[in-house]
Amino acid sequence: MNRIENISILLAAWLAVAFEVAFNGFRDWFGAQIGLLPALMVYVALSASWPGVVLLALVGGLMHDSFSANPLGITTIALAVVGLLMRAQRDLVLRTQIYAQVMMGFIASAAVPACVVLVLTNTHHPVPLTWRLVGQVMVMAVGGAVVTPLVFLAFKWLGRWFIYQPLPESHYRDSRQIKRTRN
Amino acid sequence: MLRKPHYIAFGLLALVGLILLSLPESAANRVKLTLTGLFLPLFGFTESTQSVARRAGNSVVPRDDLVRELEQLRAEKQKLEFNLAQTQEAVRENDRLRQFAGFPARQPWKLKPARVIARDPANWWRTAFIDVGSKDGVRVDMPVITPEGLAGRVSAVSTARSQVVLLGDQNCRVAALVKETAENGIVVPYVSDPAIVTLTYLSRGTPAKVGQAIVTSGLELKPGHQVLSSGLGGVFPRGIRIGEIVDVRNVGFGLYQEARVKLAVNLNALDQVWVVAQ
Repeated sequence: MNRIENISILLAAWLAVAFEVAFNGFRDWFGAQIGLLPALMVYVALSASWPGVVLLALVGGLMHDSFSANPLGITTIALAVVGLLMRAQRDLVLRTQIYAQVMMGFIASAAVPACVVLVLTNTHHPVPLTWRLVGQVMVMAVGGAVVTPLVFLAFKWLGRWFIYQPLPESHYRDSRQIKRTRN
Repeated sequence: MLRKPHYIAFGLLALVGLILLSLPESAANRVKLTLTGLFLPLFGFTESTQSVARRAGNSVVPRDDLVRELEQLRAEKQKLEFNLAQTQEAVRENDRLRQFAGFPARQPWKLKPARVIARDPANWWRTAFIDVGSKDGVRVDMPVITPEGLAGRVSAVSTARSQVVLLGDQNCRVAALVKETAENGIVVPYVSDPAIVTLTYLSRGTPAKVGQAIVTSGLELKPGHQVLSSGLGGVFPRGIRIGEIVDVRNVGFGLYQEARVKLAVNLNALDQVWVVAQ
């Protein structure tokens, strides 16, 4: 894991939480705020090293819970469960394919709020399980599915700027050229 | 399959999560409010962007519109000055009568303006952050209002920011009464619609005359009746508008009534609020 990767994960988590608390458009239009942290976790779990998953779950979860009435640490646990499961199975996921990114984004964005609600039902802050809540989780899942390929794209661009790119391979070899002479 | 680093990472995170979950509520609130300090640049940036946008918008308003609005405001100001004079006279009269009757004098509200700077990112809670805190005299449980009516109460306070739990959240229950019938009840969340709350534990009727038996027809409450805070419980002062009744139904095997109440305040569009220091 390099330092740029760490910093970019932290910065992206900060921006994701900032977007969730400050932008109310989705809440007004669809009745639910879309979570960006699960989409970010999909990218980190499939593309970064496992300390990146730990970092995002810890820092992203704490920042998310600090603005929420959720008990502190509950989102950390949900992100960690989803991130580490994906990280463990990442060899089976075609992570460069868009449909795989969309599906993983959908699953993660549904699983994280579901995990949080599940843990909340066992605390003294239970959430009433209603059809409205199911609808909100579906909106979050669809939103996450749309956002995940964009997160991959954003990090790909970022990688182009900050990470050395491999040189393109060429079949040209100077030593194998036929030297043509008049003799 | 899970390899060793994953076990260690998951164990570490589970441990941290469990420690945080087991923190006492006051300590957890302090940690939360400290962490929100990481977003101060965002709040500053949002505030300055809005200010620049406002100034830019003001600079392109035609002069004729400004003059017309100024005249309207002058007329409105004069009208309000007359109303204020009348109200002040009524207040003086009320104070004199309270003094004669031996009631303690009513303390005027001290209002502290605040701006909503962040909303709860979790969809199942209804809380918001405002840009005033303990340095501005804000304390836990102070009511938060708008000109339209009651918005919620302060649930946690840091030096410069406070968390407000809004009406319709499970942690914000308000003792309320129906203005037209003086029926008392409690405002609790209505889970299917965020713009509506439930006024529950309403009796099925009120005495028609003093000494007469309770009328149990349940015809007193009607759609359109105003719901106000009752002042019972000591958190919210009496008489703040909450909303109006949409419909009424019998619950608890007909033991009491429940009314759905449309909130007076649009909580989704909350921007400028007032904290009431009683």
